Amino acid sequence: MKKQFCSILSICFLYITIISNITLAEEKNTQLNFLTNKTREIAQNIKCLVCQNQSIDESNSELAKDLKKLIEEKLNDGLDEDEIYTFLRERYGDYILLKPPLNTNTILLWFLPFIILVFSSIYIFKFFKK
Amino acid sequence: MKSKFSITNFLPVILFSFIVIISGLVLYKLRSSSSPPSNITSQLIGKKIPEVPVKLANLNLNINNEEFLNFKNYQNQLFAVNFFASWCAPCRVEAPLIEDLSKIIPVIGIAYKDKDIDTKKFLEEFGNPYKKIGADSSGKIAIEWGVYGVPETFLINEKGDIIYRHAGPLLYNVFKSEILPLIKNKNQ
Repeated sequence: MKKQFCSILSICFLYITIISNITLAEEKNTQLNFLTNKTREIAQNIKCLVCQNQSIDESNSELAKDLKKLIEEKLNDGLDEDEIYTFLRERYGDYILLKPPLNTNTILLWFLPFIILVFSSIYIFKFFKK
Repeated sequence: MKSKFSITNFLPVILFSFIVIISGLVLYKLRSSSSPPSNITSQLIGKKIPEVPVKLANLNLNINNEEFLNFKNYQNQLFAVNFFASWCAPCRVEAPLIEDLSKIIPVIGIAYKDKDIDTKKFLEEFGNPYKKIGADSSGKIAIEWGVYGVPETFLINEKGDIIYRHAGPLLYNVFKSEILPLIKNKNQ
């Protein structure tokens, strides 16, 4: 009897979890459906400065919403993707891009994984040769 | 074989410590020199004021208000531009310091995403230290200025160049250690 109760309870919880996920997902879609795909594509590469480490596409902060609207307007005005990135970088710096551009500050960030890969493969190769 | 003491046995450890030290140094340099995420360096430092026109806030609540903010009126001296909003809690915190700042140099306010009636109430409650108040109801002016959250304070020199930006509420230590020296420098 007790076991049965427990399993019913857990099924209920599972059900609630699934349902809440669906409702949340739908809410997100309705909020973004006024934006074109191109806007969303650009928005995915722009960092939300209010809630850092999230793209403005995912974010619902006021600034993220405004930036998405702005991107949409700039696209309608005939600006291309690069011009929009330049516009934002002139105002917010490279920091606004989720993917940092390659420059002297970030060169190690980009190449350290490859250096580690090369060194470790040399080591592993030597290790197995022995 | 049991304990062959050779350098190759320690190679992974050496390599690992090398990587840790290098990345530690890089992180330290990044933290101390450029942009800590809490206060991103403004791209507008050394540049002119963005040319986007700023409508004056309609504090008398007249029906037709087509006046614009003219930054040129202040450009023979150092002045400050402060983005604020009545709905923003840190703006209430910094209000007394903005008041102090306004006694030294002219301060222009820009009300970010605010209704004129709310701006008016805010100023009635906390005092009005501003020479003029612009309204940025859509948030577009803030984007032109690279503002990512209110409050933000800019200092503009007599040539109309932005020389300083502080993001977040103006606190006493920032006011004393960063803003006052800039003002003193100009006056000498």
